Amino acid sequence: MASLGFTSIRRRAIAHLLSGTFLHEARGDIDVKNHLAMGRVSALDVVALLKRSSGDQYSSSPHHRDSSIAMHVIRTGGYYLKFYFEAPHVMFISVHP
Amino acid sequence: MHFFRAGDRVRAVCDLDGRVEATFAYRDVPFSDGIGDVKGILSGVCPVCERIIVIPPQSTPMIRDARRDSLRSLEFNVPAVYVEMLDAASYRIDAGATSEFRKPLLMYYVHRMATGKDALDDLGPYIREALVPPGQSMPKRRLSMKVSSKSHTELASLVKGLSDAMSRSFTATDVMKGIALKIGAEIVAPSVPKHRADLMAISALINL
Repeated sequence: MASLGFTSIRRRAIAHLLSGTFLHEARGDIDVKNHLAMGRVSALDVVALLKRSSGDQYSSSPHHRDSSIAMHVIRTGGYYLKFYFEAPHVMFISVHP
Repeated sequence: MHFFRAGDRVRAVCDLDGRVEATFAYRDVPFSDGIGDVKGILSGVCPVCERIIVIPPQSTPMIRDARRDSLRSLEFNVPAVYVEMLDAASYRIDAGATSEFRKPLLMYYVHRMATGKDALDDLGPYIREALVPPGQSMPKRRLSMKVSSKSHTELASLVKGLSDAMSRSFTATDVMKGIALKIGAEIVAPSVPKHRADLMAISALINL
């Protein structure tokens, strides 16, 4: 998979959050640390976090279960955001402080 | 927003089975910390291991509600005087208050101390007094209530804080007895009860 730059990753993630085309990856239960899935923060709150984030807060690595999937990690505003794109959605793994 | 229905499919990655196509279905899904679950929410199921691997945002309102509902039980079996003290205080605040006011009154004090509005040290003398067994035989009363996990955590933090500060191991019942005595001194005894405005407002809300 061609690597995308931080700005493009951020723009896509924001677009998915605004349009509601996001999902949460689960492992048999509801991760109570995922504040977005738990309803403790809204999609707009996460958009605000992403808008304030910068390239030096971003890192990327292959998904441990499928190396063809690029995992994106952004640590910003006291939150740890981890997600990947699986068209037509963005799949969140972590949205936790 | 993408709105899913039972039977819809979505591409996902299962932690056990890798890339799969999850099917949405209604399931009871537990919380990862083991406290409670959410009944019958739409969730994406792995076709291989049948575990829940996707949670859609449309399930979040029910998740949030279920978490709010996951109440914890508190049981106290104490000499009658402590329950009478709570009832006397309730009566002073609102003559129409019922036994339902015991819980908010107690948890109001727990909250004030857990959040530092009242010093933890203030409770020390009352707890020491509560440790002295009643002089004459007294019937016991059982006080049971359901509280939010937040209130439950606040009470646990008081029990721990007081045990550390006074170098002995207290139970939630010891702390409850101490708070009842503090309530006696601050609300039942004085000519003007402390926290009167706050507690009257709470009483009005629970009597709706």
